[in-house]
Amino acid sequence: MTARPQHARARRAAAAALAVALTAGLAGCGTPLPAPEAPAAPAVAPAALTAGQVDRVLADLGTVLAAGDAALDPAALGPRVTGPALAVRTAEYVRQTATAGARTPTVLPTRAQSVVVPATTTWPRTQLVVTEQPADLQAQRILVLQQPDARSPYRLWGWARLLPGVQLPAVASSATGSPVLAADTDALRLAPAQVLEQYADVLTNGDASAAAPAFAADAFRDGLRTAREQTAASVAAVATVAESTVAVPEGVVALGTLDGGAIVVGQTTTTTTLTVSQGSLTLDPTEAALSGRPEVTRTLVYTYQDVLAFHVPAAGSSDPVRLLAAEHGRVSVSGE
Amino acid sequence: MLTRPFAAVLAAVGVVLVLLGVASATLWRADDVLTATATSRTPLLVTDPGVLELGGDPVTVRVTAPDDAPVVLAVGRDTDVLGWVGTDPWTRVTGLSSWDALATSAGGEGAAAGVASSTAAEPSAGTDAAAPAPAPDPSGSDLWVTQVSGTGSAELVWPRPDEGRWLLLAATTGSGDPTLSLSWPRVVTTPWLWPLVTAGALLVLVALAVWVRAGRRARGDAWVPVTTGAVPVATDPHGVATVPSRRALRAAEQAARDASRRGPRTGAVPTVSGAVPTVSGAVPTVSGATPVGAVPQQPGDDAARATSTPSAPGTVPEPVVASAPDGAAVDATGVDAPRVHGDGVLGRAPGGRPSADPEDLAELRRPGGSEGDGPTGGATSAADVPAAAPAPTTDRRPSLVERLRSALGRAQPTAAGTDGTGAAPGAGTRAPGDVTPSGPGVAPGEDVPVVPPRWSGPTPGAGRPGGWVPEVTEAQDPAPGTDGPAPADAATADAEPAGPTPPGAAPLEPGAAAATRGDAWRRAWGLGEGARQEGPPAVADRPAEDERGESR
Repeated sequence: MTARPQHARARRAAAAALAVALTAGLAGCGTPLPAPEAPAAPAVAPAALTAGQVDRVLADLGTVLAAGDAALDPAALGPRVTGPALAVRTAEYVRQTATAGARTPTVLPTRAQSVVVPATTTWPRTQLVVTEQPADLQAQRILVLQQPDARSPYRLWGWARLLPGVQLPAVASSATGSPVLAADTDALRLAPAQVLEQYADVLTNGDASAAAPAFAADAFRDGLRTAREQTAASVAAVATVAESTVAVPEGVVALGTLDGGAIVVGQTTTTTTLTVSQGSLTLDPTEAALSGRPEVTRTLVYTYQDVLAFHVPAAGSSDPVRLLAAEHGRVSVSGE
Repeated sequence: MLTRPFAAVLAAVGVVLVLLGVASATLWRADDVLTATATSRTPLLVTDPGVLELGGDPVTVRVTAPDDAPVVLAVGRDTDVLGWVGTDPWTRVTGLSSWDALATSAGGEGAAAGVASSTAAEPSAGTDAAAPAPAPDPSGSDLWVTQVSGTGSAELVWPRPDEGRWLLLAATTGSGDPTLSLSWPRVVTTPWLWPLVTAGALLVLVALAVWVRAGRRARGDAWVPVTTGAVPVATDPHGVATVPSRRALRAAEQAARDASRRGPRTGAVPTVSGAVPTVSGAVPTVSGATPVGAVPQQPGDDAARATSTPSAPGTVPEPVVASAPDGAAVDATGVDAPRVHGDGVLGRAPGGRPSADPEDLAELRRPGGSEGDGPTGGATSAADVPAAAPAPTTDRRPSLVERLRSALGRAQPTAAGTDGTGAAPGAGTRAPGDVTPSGPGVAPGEDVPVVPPRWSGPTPGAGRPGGWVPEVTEAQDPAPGTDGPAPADAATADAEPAGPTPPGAAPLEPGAAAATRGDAWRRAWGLGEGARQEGPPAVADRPAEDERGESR
């Protein structure tokens, strides 16, 4: 008689044990779902571009340039060329066409010797690429590639030739990325925006400029003055030459260097105006092509877009601002 | 009482555990590849940081879109991806909602609040306004670290990066919504396999132990009742009453039978022994008669005898006849004589031999039994003589032996029968039957067996011979005179000399000492006329050997 209750108890116990076992077994199968473990966001912005991306961009740029150069069609440059670079290139195509191929566009190597990559997570982004020396042993170029927004590609905004005897400041590795300084930062001896303004004043006014002492003498400035003087001399009989340079506030980029300074890249516009006092000026084919008229009788205006790269020392430094590279590209000619 | 069910339950649980463990590692084992999918409600799909790496390394990303719409998969830094997505509506993949589904949520202002600042700073606000209509195409952006495009579907393998927060952007420029699937190779662990299997096995073992113990107990319990139950049964008056009576009856019957059976033998000893003295007294005389009288005494043996006797005589007519009479008489006395010698009483003849005796004994013990008998069997002597006689005439032997054999073959059976029944007479009668043939003087009934073994083999009461052998050997001691070789000589020579001596002594000693002694001996050994039977040895041996040598 006692056996039955005991059996029942045993059954209950068995059932309980079974349940426990099953639960355990099922629990064993139900390993928790893996949850994403997001790596901590880096405290410092990483390099905006990886080496691969830089190479890819440059390769693509080279392809686009080659296509544009082949077709002498600035439209083909659209995907990868913009700003002063596009304007200058366009003018060069015109010149090449006007000269029947005698004057080819500026050679732009797209293989990087070194890269200054911005460390940023925002846009626009600008990277500087120091190219290898061109085959004709011209000066190395500094390519300025700019990405205005996230959905835009890096485009060649401008290029500049390294000035002779210039030593590039040391910069952080491309993997780390160089800090991007604001145009109005006070970490530098001169704010990037002011650098361009003051240099433009120096170009315009020469040594008379108040800013002249801040800038070390450079070949570019001398070259411009020389060119201006020659032009003035050549047209002295019939015209006077006036030249002014104005900084373009947009597009000033400052990438920090290891010495606390920065490489400041900016653009200025130089306008050279010939005022015809008597008679007329016959334009060469290129000028004619650019201006659309073979001669001018009143004024002739050359517009140049200058891409300049400076090394600006850190704030408190007594070192002058040095011009590293510059390109003085004629983009338009107009006259009356 | 509960132990067995408990053990059963334990075992069941153990088995279940084992099965669960195995199943966890097989049936329920997670797939080697974890694949989770999700369908976006927007053309843009972005994973949260860490989602790509959550399942393993590397992740295989596959995106499909209906209608073979162009699809793009791209991986980039979180800031780049989110910067690219901007303010467009997008679907955020936040992780896994189950083992085969991705958890998603609406991306955008709320979710991407953190990114909002950066995107807000973008100058591309103008494009955003117009963007919603056309699905943006992320392909070709410089932001992507890796990117794959396709129509309808695209697949991408993304190894786990060393560092950084990398997001996946899946997009389609078509009208449909992309379906994203992420697959990770998984190191599938089966953490429950061995614990469960071990635990289960332990449970089973415990259950077994419990069961066995229970079984033992149960057995013990079972035994108790059985015994207790049996006891009463055993003690049941009826059963007891009946059983013992039967047993008793049986026992009684058995005892009776035994008694009847044994009676003759054991009982015979005394009776016979009692008779022996008288007979023994007669022995000499009787023995003398034995050869002769044997024939008449036992008809059954007659046949054997008839055959044997004739044959023996036939072969060794002269000696048999010649010696038989003398030898019989002489032997009769002689028989005792040797014994006497053995006793040391009569040291002479035997004494002289004795020197050789020990050795002979050693050699002859077996045969000696028979040999030793030679002398003892005075009556045998008659037979011996003939047997011995043949010895010299070894050439003839074969025929004789053969005959004897045949005789034996016939006679023995009967002899055996006679042995059992008739002791005294049988012995006498047999002796001739057996002895004659085998030479045997061994004649005496019991000797026959002894001899036969040597001769033809075991047939003649193997049982007895064994028993006899010792006796014979003992008898041999006195028998020394009965050297193997001697027999022939002894048979004749001894018989003669012994004959004379014994006669004198024989009557004296045999009559008294020998008879009494023989009686005592017989009694001691439970033999009827065993004393006599120690006969045929030497002669018997030889023939046996010869026989073997020749016949075989």
